[in-house]
Amino acid sequence: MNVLHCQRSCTYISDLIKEGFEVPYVNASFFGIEQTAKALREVAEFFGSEEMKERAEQIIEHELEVISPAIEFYKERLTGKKVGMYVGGPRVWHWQRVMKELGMKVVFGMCTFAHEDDYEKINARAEDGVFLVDNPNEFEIEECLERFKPDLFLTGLKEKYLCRKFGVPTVNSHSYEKGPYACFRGMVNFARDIYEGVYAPAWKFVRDEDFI
Amino acid sequence: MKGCLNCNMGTHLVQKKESGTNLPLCSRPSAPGEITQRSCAFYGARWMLAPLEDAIHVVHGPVGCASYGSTVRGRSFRVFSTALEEKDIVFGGRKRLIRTIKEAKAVMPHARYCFVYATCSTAIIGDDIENICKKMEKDLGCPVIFVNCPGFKGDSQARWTPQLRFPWF
Amino acid sequence: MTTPLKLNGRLTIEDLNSLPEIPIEGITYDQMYIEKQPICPEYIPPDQDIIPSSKRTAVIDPGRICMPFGAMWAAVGVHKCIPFVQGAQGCTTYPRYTFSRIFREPVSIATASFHEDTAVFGGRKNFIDGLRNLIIRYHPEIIAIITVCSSEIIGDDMEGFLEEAQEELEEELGPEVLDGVKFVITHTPSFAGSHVEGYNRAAATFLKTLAKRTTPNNKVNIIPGMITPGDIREIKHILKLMDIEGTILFDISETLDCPLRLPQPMPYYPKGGTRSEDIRDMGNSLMTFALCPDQGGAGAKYLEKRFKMPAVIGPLPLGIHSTDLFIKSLAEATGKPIADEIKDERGILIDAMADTFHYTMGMRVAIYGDPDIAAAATRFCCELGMEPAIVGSGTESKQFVKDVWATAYEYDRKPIILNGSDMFEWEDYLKKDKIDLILGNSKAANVSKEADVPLVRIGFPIYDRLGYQRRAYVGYRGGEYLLDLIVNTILDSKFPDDRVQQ
Repeated sequence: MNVLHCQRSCTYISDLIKEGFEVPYVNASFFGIEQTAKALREVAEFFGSEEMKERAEQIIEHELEVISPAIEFYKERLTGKKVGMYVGGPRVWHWQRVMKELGMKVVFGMCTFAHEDDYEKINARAEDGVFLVDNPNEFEIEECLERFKPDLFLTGLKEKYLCRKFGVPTVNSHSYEKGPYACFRGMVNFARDIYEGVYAPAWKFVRDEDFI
Repeated sequence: MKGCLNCNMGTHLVQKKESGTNLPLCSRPSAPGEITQRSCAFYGARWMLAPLEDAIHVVHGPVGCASYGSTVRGRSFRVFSTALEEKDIVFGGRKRLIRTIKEAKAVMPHARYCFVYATCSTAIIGDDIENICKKMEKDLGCPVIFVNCPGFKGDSQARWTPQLRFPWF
Repeated sequence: MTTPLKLNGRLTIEDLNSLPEIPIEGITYDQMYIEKQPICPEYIPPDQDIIPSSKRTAVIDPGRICMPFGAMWAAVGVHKCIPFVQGAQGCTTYPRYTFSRIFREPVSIATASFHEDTAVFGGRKNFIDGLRNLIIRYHPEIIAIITVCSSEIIGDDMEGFLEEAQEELEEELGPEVLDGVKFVITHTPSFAGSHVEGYNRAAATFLKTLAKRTTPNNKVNIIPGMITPGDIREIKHILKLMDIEGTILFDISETLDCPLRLPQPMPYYPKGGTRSEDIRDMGNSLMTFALCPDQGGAGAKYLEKRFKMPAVIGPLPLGIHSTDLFIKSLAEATGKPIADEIKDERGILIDAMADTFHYTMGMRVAIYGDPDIAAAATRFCCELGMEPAIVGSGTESKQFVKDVWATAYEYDRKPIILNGSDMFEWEDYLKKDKIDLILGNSKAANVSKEADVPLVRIGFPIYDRLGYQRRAYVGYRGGEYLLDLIVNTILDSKFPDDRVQQ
C-alpha cells in the first residue's frame, strides 16, 4: 500500500502505480493532531489486523499525552488570531484543520497550483467569508494583506519579504523555519514557529505611532 | 487601484458564501505581465528528483538553468551542465550531451541512474534527448532517464507532469 | 540518558520515544540524531584527465548564473522600474528566489508567462498583453524588457513587437499613460554569456535608450557593477567627502536594502533607485567611471564613443592601490583636492594593516568569484602580504587574467589562474594544495567545510550569512571591514585561544 500525504501530483503517480502494479493507496494527512490520528486509524483499518488497530490507539494516546502541555500553552496564546495562507495547494486544506486546533481563524487561502478537487475541500472546510485566490500575483497578495490585516501569513520564501514590508509576520511554509511540522510532535514545532511569528517584539516597534 | 479585488471577483478570486459552492477558476496558465509566484516545470522536476543523491543529474541547456537548479529546498546539490553556447544552439547540442553524460559517469562512477533534464532552449532547438538517453544506457550500464521538463511546459506541479517526469512507469 | 560522542547532544529515536513530555520549544531536526548511510562504500577520486575544465564539455557546480539575471539586477536598481522577462515563468521565479535569498528583500519581476503555444507561435501576444497588464496595475516609470534563451531562439523581434505594443496601447490607454512609461530592451540569451555579461549589456542599453546630451554639468557617472548596497553607500560617502556630485547607475542601495516602515504604498515600490531623469542626464557628465570592467564597462564605452566622454574603466576600488587610483582619477577629473577625511580613512586602513601583518603575511589563499571581484580581492590579498595560490573566476574574462597577472608580477607571486572555470576544478586544485584561507562566495561554503579551510565571504552570491549585503568592501572603510574579517577568521582557525589575547 502507498500512503499519500502530498495529494497533488503524487495522486497521479499513485494512480499510475495502482494501474501498473496493483498497489492501492490511502490518502492521509499528517498535519495536526486530529488528521494524524485519523491517518493512523485508516492505515490500521486498511490492514484490518486487530493488533495494528490497538497499536494505533496506543500511539495516539501516548503522543497526545506527550504533546498536550506544549499545545495547550500555544493554543492559549494563539486563539482568535487571524491567519492568511498561501502555499502550494493541498497544504491549505491540510492546515485549515491545524489552525482550527490552535484556535486560529483562517481569513484567506491562496494556492499556487491547486486543482478543482483542492478547492472543493478548502471550500468545505472554510468558514463563511473566507477568501480564496488561485495563483495570486504580488498585487493580489498586497491587496489581501491590506484588506484582511491578518496577524500571520503562512507563505514561502519570495513572498515573505514582501509581507514583512507590510508589517505582517510570516512563517516559511514550504521548507519550514525550524521543522519538522508533521505529525503530533511536529505540531509543537509548528505552533512554536507561529507563536514566535505573532509575538516577535519587532512587530510592536513597527506600529509605534510616533515613528510612522 | 482600490477595490481591484472586487472587480476580479468570480474569476480566480471568490469569497465563500453560506450556501454557495462557487470555486475559483484554476489550472490555468498565469496571465502575462503578472508578477507570478509560480515556477516552471523544470523547478518541479528538480524539487522532486534532486534529493536522489546517488544519481547523476545532467541539465541539458545553458549554464543558468543548472546553477539555479543546483539549489533545492535550501540545500545545494551537484549538477552537471552541458553549458550550451551559441554554436551549439545553431548546430544542436547532441555531441555535448553525449560527452557530458560520459564525463559525469567518470566523476560519479558509483551512480545508480542518470537523469537528463530538458530545458526551454533544448526543447525548442529540438534535440532528440530521449533517443540519446536510450543509446547512452548501454555505455553507462545504468538507466538513463529523460525528464521532459522545459520551463514553458507549465508550472511546477501541472497535472500531466508526473507522467513526463517519470517516464519509466 | 547516555549521549555518546557521535550524538553530540542529539537525541536518538529511542531517546525521543521515551520522553515523558515534549518541551514547549519543540524538538527540531538539529536536535535529532538521524543515522545516515554513505551513498558509495568509499570515496573514489575522479579521473585526473577530466578535472581541467578546458578538457571537458560538462560544467560541474557552475560558478556563474544566467545572463538575464545580470540584466534584472541592473533594472532593479532603477526607480520604479519593473523588469519584464520575455520567457517562461521559471525565468522570473528563479532569479526572484536568488534575489530574495541574497538580499532578504522583495523583488518585483514580471513574466511573459511562456507556455507551449507561445513556444510554437512566438511571444508577440504575450508581450503586448503583458505590457498592458503591467502598466495598468503597477504604473511603472520604466519597463526593462529582458529576453531569455527561449525568446531569442524562437526569434521574437522585440523591437518590432514594442512598436506594435506602443501603438496598440496608446490607442487603448491614452497617450498620457504611455508617455509616462519608458521601455528599454536588453537582449540577454543565456547561451551567449553569464550574469556578468548581462549586467554589462543592460548598462549599455539603458544608456543608449535614455541618456541624452543637453547642457554639460559637473557631475561624474558611476557604473558600479554587481556590488552590494553597502558598497554603493560607501561610494556615495566618498563622493560626499570629495564634494563631488555623482550619478550612480543602477543604485541598488535603496531598492535592495530597504527599511520596514508603515504604511507602505501599494503597489510596493522601494523608495530609492536611480531616477530615469538622472539617467537621461548622464549624457552631460564630465566623466564615467565603470568600477568593474566586465560589469558595466560597455556602458562607459558607449558614452565615450557617443558623447566623447572620458571613461575610466576599472579597477574595482578595493584595497589601498585600487582605491588610491579611483580617488586620484576623481580628483583629476573634477579638479577637487583629495579631502582630508579621506586621507584619514586611508590612514586608518594602513594602521590596521600595520597592526595585523604578522597574522596575514605568507598566508596562502584560494580565491573564487566573479572576474572583477576576484581580481580585486587578489590585489588586496597581495597588499596584506598574503599569497594568492589559486584564483578562479566563474565567467571567462580577458581583463581578469590581465589584472591578476599584473598584480602577481608586481608582488612576485605565481598564482594558478582558472579563467571561466567551475567550482569543481577549483575545488580539486584547492584540495591538492596547502591553503590557509578561502576568499569566495557562499557556493564555496561546502568546499570550505570539506577541506577544513576557513572561508571569508566576498562577492556574489552570499546567501548563507546575514548582513553581508549591507557591508562595504570597497573604499578604505570597506577595506578595513574586509581586513577585520580576514584577520578574525585567521585568528579563529589558526591561532590557539591563549595566543589571541595579545
